Amino acid sequence: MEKVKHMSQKQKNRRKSSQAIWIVAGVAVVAVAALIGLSLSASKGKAPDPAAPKARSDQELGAKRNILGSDTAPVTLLEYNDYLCPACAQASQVVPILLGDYIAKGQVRWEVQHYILHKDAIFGAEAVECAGDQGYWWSMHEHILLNQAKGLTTKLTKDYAKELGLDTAAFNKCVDSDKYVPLIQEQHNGGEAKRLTGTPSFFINGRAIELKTWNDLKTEIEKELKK
Amino acid sequence: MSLRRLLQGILGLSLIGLAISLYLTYIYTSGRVAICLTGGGCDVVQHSPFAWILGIPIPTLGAGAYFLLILLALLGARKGERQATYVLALFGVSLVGLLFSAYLTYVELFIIRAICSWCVISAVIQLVVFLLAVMAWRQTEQELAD
Repeated sequence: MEKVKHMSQKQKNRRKSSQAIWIVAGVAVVAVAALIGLSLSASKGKAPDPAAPKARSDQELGAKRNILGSDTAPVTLLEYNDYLCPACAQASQVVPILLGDYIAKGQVRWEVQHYILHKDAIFGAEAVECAGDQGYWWSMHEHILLNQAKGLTTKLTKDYAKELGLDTAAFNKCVDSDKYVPLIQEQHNGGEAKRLTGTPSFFINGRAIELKTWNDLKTEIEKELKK
Repeated sequence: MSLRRLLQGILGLSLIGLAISLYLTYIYTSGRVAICLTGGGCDVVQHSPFAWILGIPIPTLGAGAYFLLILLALLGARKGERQATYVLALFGVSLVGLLFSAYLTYVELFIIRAICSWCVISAVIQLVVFLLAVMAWRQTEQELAD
């Protein structure tokens, strides 16, 4: 008699505990549903304009800030760039076409540094670095150069950040803080030390190269790869 | 594995999770750039429209969850009539963490299209903690029945 009573108590305990776990699981699911609802509604108003050109992140492009391509690539192409120089705008379109395959194969990495020839070009350099904080260095780089004809002001680059769907509050704060001026100055000084005569200027593994046509870039890269 | 071991596992993993969450909370609120183990992606995720809920950064929510897990793992380790309740709560909190991490990983992969290494580590921790919590619950259930 005593034993039967004990058994039923055991079963009762068991049933109670398995009931409890389902209740807790149910509460957990409801809590997560609420969190997801909040997350989706919080993201709604802030999501980028769907009509905006879809910016590609540096991660998608295989870039880290101002360096596009593999860390271990045997050839480094260094370009000094000014955001108001017309040939620089050309370079940003031509280099990916000429060297896209080499970059994709991990043979070449393309590094862009700032060299300020035109006074207002610094607004472009600052904007690109601030976009880099959000993982969109290259999208901003290309966007500014494509819109070069509009000139460059801080107001304009803030519009670009919005067009690319960046976090505008963080971007504007970054640009207004001038936090990247020392970095830009440092890169510019590096260029001066190399006695640049203009932009864009190219270096392959540290060696200055003269370009007569864009195709010379490919020839020089091939030469370096054969070394 | 003994209940004690399971709870120790949860405690250790949650401490790692808490450290990551606190680091990222600092990054989010100070407007700095996170050190990203995969080289990129953390920046994109941090500035995406999904990074904050009601003015709270997601990593702060994570820190809260890990703090709760630590507390419950410590309380659950002590023998007593409340032990089962603490382990049950541990199961509940870890389930919330697991499901919400799954949602965030989905958002990263298919909406933001960027992956941040810290988020992946945290999601894996949540998964393992959940499994340990389920095992811990089965242990206490057994003890209740005996």
